[in-house]
Amino acid sequence: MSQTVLLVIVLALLVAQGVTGFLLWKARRDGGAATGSDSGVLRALRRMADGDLTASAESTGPATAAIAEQLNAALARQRELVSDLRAPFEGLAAELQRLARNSHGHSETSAGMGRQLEEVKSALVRELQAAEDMGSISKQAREAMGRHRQLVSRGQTLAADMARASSDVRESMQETSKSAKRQGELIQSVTTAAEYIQSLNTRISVVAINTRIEAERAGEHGRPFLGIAEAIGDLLREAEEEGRKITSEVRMLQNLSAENLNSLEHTVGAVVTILDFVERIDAALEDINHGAAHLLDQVDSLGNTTQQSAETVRRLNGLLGEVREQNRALREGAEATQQGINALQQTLSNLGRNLARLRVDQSGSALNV
Amino acid sequence: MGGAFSALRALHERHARGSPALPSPPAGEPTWSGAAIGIAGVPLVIAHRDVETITALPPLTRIPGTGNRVLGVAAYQGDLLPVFCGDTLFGQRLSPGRRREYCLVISQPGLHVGLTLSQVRGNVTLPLSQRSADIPLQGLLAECCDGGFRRGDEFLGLLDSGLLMASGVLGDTSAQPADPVEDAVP
Repeated sequence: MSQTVLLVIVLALLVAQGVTGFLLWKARRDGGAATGSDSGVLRALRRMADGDLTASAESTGPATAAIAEQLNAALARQRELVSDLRAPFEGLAAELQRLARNSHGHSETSAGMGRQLEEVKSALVRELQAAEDMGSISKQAREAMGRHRQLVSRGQTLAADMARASSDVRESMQETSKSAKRQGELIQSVTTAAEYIQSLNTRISVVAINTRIEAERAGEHGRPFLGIAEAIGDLLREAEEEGRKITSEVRMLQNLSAENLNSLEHTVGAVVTILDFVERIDAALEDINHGAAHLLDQVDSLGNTTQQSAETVRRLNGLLGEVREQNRALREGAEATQQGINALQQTLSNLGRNLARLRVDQSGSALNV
Repeated sequence: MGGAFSALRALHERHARGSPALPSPPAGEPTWSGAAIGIAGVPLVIAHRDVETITALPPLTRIPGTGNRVLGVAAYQGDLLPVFCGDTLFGQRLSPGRRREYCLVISQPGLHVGLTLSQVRGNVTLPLSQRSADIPLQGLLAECCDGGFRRGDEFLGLLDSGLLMASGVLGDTSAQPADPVEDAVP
């Protein structure tokens, strides 16, 4: 508002100066050559036309004395007006300067904010991409966990089957062990029989020896007993041979039976151990299943959180777009303001230069802009 | 008749000339026969003439004051038969494991005893070529054996009842030492 008033005043001064010059030019054309009483007025008018407001009109003529007086009063008012213009003009220049700096600062701030908003946008895009990747990973993890749980369930089924099979094997082994023990008892019975046969062989040996002794003691009469003793001896050798075979084979059978029994006991022990391991595996699979369910819940929660985060990032991205748009409008406004201030400064500079042409005292110009 | 006989003779001669001679029977290898037994786990043989009989170990009656090599006396064919433990007498150890079931009865002039056997193997006939004078045995068995027979890796000592009687081991049955106690005191 003050700027407009100042402009109006300056324009009024310029118009007044123009009008004064026009009146002077008309007076010269209409009056022809000036008289001696008019010369002071004319000099003052010339100096006034040249911008020297320190001029003073002097006239002794009755016609021009009033003019000179009025002219001097007008010049005094103009000097006062120009002097009064100095402070507002300088304040206006300083205000414009400050406005120009502020506007420049706003423009730079807006540009910096634009760059930061661009960076924030890039960060949000990366964040959105990361959230989408996380969502994809969560989905894949969920599918993997589903497969994992299926495998665990299959492992539990296998463990249950293995436990059943091991239990069947254990029962079968126990039955086989009973059979082996029964077999051992039979072998022991056969061994006893073989030992009895061996004892019989020994008795027959005794009989054969005694027969031979008696035959030799009987001399010629005992010769038939020699044949009997030989026959008994032959039979005995055959029986001993077979008895040795039976004893050897029974001993082998005993050893085999003992080894089988031992092996069966070891196998039963191994089956019991396997059953224990299967139970542990089953418990471990159960734990894994619980852990997988918990992990699945966590993955679901993570997926939901990621989805919400992605949604938030999308909203933020939208808001950021609006902020960017507003920032762009602000920057454009700041630039327009800067341009206006520049134009105003240019105008003010021109005005200053024009005003500088006016002299209000003996030292120099009216305004130094 | 004479023609037929001549034809048969000619046929015999012709086949006798064309056929290989019959193998001569092998000369009889001299052998030795006896009873194969075992005393204290050592395989032995003994001649039949040195043995009266081999009998199941009869019920025994312990004789007080005798050493542990004397198992006792048994009633045998209306007589008393002192029975010695073969394991203790020859092996200087008690019989291991099961009780001995048979005893060897030796009846010689001045000797009528029974010896428990660890094994009765039966009659045996061995070639004299396997006879050996080296006795890889120790102690009383080496003293009472007249050599032996080598059959493969096995040595069968030949127990001689005469050497057994001569050893005098069967004459001392007391549990006390042979020397009087008074003589042992310095």
